Amino acid sequence: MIFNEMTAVTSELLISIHQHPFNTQLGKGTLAKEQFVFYLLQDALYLADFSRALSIIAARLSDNSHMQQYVAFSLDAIKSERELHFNYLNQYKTQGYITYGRDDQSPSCFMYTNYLLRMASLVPIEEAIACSLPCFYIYHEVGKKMSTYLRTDHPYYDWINLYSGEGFKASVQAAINIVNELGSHASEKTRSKMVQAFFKATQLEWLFWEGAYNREEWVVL
Amino acid sequence: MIVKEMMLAVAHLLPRIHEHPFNTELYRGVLSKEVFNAFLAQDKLYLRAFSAVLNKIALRLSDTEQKQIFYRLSEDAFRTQDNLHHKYLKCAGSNRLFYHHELMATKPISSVSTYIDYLHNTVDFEPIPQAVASCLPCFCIYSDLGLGMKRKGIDKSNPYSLWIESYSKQEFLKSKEVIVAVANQLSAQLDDVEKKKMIGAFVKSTHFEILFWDSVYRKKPNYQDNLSCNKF
Repeated sequence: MIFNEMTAVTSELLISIHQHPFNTQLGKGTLAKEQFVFYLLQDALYLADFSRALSIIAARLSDNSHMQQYVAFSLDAIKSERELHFNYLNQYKTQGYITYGRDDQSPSCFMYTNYLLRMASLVPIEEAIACSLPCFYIYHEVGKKMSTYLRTDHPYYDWINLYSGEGFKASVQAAINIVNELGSHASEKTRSKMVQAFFKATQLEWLFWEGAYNREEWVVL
Repeated sequence: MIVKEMMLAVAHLLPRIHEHPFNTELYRGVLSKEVFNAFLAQDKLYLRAFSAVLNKIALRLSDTEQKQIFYRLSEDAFRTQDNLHHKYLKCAGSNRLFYHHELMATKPISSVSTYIDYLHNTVDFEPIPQAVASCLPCFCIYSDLGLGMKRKGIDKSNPYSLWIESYSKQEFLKSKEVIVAVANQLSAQLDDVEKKKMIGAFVKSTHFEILFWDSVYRKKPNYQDNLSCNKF
């Protein structure tokens, strides 16, 4: 099972993610709203491109049931983006609090989405699939950990509930199953590249939180 | 003439490019050999990807003359990365900048890999004028820098003189003019929104040109690597 190899090489990285101040404060409910809004905006921008990447992967998959699953993932991702956009971010936009367009991607978001899109269109499909997995798996791990003593009056209840919930859990498992299946037919060299792609995307997950926590901007020099 | 507007959009960055320690130390010949070698190794990786991107642009262009131009630019970029080894190994003895094994390209550092990803995605998913615009800074920024250094005079005893001169050689300036002309032609048929997107692509790539020097100079290869664990 290639997924076991993937979690083994990212075990320390997962600890760094759990311990990142963005996540510890999010879990305790003490994270500043400005940081959370910055994060949500970047997440919406991320999801639009993530959905694109998933569609490209879907189009490239040869097994029809895998393709159906990835088309559904892609649709879920863009639905989440629309929901964030219309239900939440629009109020900040109309207040002039944020701008909203593809050009507003922060450096970390830009780095992650450009990596995913390039992988989805250019490298062997096994590697492309592998780099799409952390966005599912890591979020579920983070959500689960935060949900242990979750109360309904937690300021970020909805967010934690979404990623720790049964619906998301089923998606994560479906994604893991496809990666394992593709991994089982892959050569050793490809398998090693799959693990590398999973590792890099996990690093980029960490960086995404780091960027949101610092509300990073494009700074040259 | 859209390229003039592009250069105006990055005018505030140009002095910072000229004054970046990588470039000032390169010009004075005091840049550390280690930094220069790291730069060349990354440049080789970059040029290989750049050549592929220029080739994709050629495929997507409809005008045969413009197609030819991009096929040729793609070949030039490939040849340049291929010769990068030999060219700077030529001078023997104390002038020798590095040894063959030192230029073995490893993996792109994160600013370079993001730049490469961006160029690929722009040509794959955006309208062709934007793809052309995203490839321009590599020509315009380097020739601007090279001509600036040439005007000030290049010291022949500078170990990097051959490299500096390559930024302002006739052949390179000619390539720049040709790609600039294509960008101007393509923009002529566009509305203001599309033109603005071309300028945006130019600015984004200029950003990455600066990050390229900066991350090599500061030896900050992968900024996600401040993580304690890096297995690859």
